[in-house]
Amino acid sequence: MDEIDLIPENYRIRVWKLRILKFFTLVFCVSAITSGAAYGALEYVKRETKFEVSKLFEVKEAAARQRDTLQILRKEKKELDYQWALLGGLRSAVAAEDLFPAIDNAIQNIDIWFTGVRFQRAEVEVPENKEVNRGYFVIVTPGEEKESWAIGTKMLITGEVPNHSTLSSFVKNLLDQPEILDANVLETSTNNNDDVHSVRFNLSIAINLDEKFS
Amino acid sequence: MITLKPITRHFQKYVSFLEIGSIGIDFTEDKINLVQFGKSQDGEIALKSAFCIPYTSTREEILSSPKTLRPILQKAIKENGFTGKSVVTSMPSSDVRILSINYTSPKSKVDSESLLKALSDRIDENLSEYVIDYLPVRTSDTDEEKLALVALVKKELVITYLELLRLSGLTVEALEIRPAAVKRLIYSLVEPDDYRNLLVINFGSNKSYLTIISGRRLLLDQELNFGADSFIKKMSSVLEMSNESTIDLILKHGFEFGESNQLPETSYADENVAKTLLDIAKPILSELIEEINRVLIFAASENQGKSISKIFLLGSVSNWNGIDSYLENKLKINVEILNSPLKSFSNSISESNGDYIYTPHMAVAAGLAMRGLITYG
Repeated sequence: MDEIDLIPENYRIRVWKLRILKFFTLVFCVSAITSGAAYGALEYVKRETKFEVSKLFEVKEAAARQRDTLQILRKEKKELDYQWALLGGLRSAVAAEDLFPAIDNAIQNIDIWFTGVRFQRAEVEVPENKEVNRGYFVIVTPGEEKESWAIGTKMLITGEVPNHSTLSSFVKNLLDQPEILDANVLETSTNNNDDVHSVRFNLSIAINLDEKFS
Repeated sequence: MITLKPITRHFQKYVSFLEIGSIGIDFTEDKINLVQFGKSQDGEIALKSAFCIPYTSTREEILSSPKTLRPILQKAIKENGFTGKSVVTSMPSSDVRILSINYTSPKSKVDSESLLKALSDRIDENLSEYVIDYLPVRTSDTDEEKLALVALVKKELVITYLELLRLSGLTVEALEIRPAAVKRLIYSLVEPDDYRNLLVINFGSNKSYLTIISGRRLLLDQELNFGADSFIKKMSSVLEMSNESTIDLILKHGFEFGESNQLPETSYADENVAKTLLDIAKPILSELIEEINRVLIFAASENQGKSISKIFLLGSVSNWNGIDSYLENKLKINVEILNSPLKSFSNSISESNGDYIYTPHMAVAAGLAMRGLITYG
C-alpha cells in the first residue's frame, strides 16, 4: 500500500491475455513458417532424391542394356572366334610342315613310299597337284603364298608298301601321333605287274584340329 | 589508431548496472521527459539515460494517436541509450484528482470500503466510472478518524492513456501520480535526518503543486492556480512589456541582487531592476505564500505540531534568481532549489546526454523511473 498504481486490474489481465495470445500467435506463426520451410526443404530433397534415383535407374537400365549387349557381343565374339578358328582351321588348318613331322614320326623304319597326296577340305576335295617324288617332301612352288600350301582337314595319301603288315604298322604309328585324329585305309590292291610285289593303298588322314587350336 | 571507447561504452551498457529500472515518462505541458536509472555495482542508484522531447504540436495532439506518439518515443528510446520498453508513467495532472479524505473505519469493515463510502459522500458522481487508488496518511487501530490521499481518474481516460502507450510499443508497469514520483525523488536525494516533514513546491506553467512528505508518507498534494505563465502575464501587464521581454528581464536580473546569488546569466544584473521586479512580484507571490501557510498549518496538525523543516522548489519558477531567498525570508523555513535532480545520479557510466537534461523539469520523470529501485527504510 506504499505505492499508487492506477492501472485497473481487469486491464492488466486483458493486456496479459493479449500478450499471451500474441506470444502463442508468434509461436504458431514461427512454427508454421518453420514447418512450411522444413516441408518445402524436404519436398525439395525428396524431389531431388527421386530425380537422382530415376537417373540412377536410367543409368542402371543403360548399364543392364549395355551388359546385355556386351553379353550378346561376347557371345557373338565367341561364336565369331569359334567360326574364325573354324575358318582358320578350314583355311589353314595344320601347316604341312607341322603335319609332315608327324607322318615322318609314323614312318620310322617302315618301308613305304607315297605316290600321291591330296587334300580334302570341308568335305570338298581341293586337289593339290603338287607332285611328290618320294617320301613325304612337299615341293613349294616359288612365288606362292604359304596359305596356299595349307592342307585341309583330311589328307589323302596314295602309295605302296611291301605288304599289308607294313601298312598296318604305318597306320598304327599314325594314330599314335597327336596331330592325327584318324587314319583310315580306304583301299588296298596288290601290285604284281613288276618284279617287285607290293601293296598299293589309299589312306585318309583326319587332322586333329583341337590339337592345333588348344 | 583504434579507440576502445565505443566498445567499452557498449560493454558498460550491459554490465555496469546490476539492475536496470523502468523508463520514467512524464508528459509535461511542453515536452516529454524520459529518465532511466540502474543500480550500479555498489548498489547505488545511477542515471542510465535521460532525454527530453519538446512537442512539435500541442500535448493533446501528441497524445491523441499512437501513430503520432509511437515514432517519437521509439526513436527517443532507441537513440538515447534506454534499455527495454517497460515504463512507469503518470497521467497529465489535469486528468487526475488527488484528494485528502477523512474517513472512519470500524474494525468489522475493510478500509477500502469505508474510504469508498467517504469518497462517495464527497464526490457527487458515479464512482464506478473512476479508477481509484489511495495511500493511507493517518491510520489507527481504533475506530478513530483516518486520513488517506486518494487518486481518482476517469476509467475511460486511464484506458485510453494505457492503450495509447501500449500501441506505442511500451509496456506500462505502473501508472502513478506525480506527487508519488516527487516523494520518491526527494527520498533518494535528502539525507535521512532531513527526511521529515518536507514541502515540495513544483511550479508548472499554469498550475503549481504543493506536496507534503512526512517520512515515508505522502501527506498532501494540493493544486494551486499559480503558474509561471500567469505570473509572467501579470508582470508583463504591470511592466507594459511583452511576455518574452518580461521573462528575459526576470532571467537576467532576478528578484534579488547579491554576490551570493550572482549566477552567470545574472552577471549583468542591475540591483535596481531586481528590486523593482520584486516589488511588482510581491502581490503575486503573496497569494502563493498564503497558500503555503495554509498547507503548513495542515502539515503541523497532521504531525503532532511538528512544522515543515524544509521546502524544495521544483519547476520553471525555481530557476528565477531570488525566489528561494524571498520565500525563505517570508516563511522562515529553509528553502532549497532542486535545479538539477539528475545531477546527483550522473556518473561515469551514465549515457552521455546533453546538459539540457540537468533541469528541474526532469524531477517527475526521475521519480517515476525510481519505482522499484528505491527501498524505503
